[in-house]
Amino acid sequence: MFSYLALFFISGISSVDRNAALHMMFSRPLVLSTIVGLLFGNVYLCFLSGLLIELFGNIDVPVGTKVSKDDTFMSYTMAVLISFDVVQVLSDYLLALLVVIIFVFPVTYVDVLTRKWNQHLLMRYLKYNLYKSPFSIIWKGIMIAFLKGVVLYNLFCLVTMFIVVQIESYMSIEGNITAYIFLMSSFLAGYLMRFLSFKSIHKYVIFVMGLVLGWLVI
Amino acid sequence: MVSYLNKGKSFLKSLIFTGNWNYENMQGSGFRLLLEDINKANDLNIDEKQIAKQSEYFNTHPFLVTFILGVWFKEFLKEGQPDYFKKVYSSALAALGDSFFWHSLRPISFIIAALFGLINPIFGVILYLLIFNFFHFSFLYIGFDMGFFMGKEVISWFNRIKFNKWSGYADFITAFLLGLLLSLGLKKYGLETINYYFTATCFLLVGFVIAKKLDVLFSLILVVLACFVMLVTKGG
Repeated sequence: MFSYLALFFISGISSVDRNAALHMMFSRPLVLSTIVGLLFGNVYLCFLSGLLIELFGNIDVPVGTKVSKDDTFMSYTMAVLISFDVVQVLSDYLLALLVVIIFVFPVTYVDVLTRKWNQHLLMRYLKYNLYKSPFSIIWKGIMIAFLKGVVLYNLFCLVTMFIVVQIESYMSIEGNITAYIFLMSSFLAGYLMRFLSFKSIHKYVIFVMGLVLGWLVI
Repeated sequence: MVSYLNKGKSFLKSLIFTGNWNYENMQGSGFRLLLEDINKANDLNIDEKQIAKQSEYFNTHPFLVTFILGVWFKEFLKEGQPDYFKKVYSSALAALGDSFFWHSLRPISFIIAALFGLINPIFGVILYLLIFNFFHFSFLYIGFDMGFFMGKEVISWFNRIKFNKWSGYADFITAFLLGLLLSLGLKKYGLETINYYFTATCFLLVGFVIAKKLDVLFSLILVVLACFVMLVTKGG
């Protein structure tokens, strides 16, 4: 019972950390996945899954008014599915990842709605309470972000779980999950390299040096 | 101006000031909250209308907000016209902060954490939080004092520490460590076959080529589908 409450709390606080307050990086896929893995088991696979999603999240950054895709939700759901043994073989992993990517669209859209709700709170505040402290609307914004995490993350997590369980009874192909994670990571590493602001041929030379050193020396 | 007790309180509030983030005034409500707090703690008796005016549009990088607060108070006490500098510094520090914290510090913290995490995931995660939050908390904590001390000249402090170059240095290290992480991961967790390494190289090169052309999420969908096809046709 305690662990389920902890899971709800983690989903809520990670949503707050991402959207409303703290910004202490508890919501980053690598951190969140590992914490869920620590609580419910399979910490290594959760960590590697977080690594893949964080590579994606590092490219899709929240600059200005841009709402980046909710990689916190992606990593939370994948970690829960792995920890609860819903993901058992490689085909389950790929399927779960695909479903989670599809669900990230509605979850991210709720971020936009949350900001509109905050705007509604602000307009009411400016109309009726302009000379009072804005602490209450800030606190409400944080609570909404918390509820969004608890309700939405877990709801879509359950739906993903249901879909994966239904499909895995028809199709289940074994394979090396970690090998495929690093295959996809290679692709995203190409993206991340282009994203890094250091613009020159040196960036690629340094990257290749890292590759070679990792391969030969370590 | 701000005692250590109040500084601690301001620091904690600066962690929640983005709670009402919205499209109308962005972080304006939060800025007003922080400003009100310092006003009360120091009995400055700033006019209510002046305080209420601070609910207007305000947007900056959340980790550098305390610098702007410091500048605001300094200029308010000196000339009584702090809003111009608030506007100027909010956009300047937004650009500087985004470039360092989101584009560089996050990737480098992640890569270091991932590398150490391959040995011990818990250690990796602790390292991630320590590295990132060291910079996050340091800037938030010293921001007010620095802004208040230097006033409208606070940008010279950023120039003195060469803050705009930090991103370049960090990206340089990130590029090296990313290469290290990739080859380590492929070697330790991958399949020891020529086909596998060839496919990984192709994936990397395709990533390089289409990075600026296709949204990363759609690319990820395509890659997952490609892996599915590989799995079905060739097996795991």
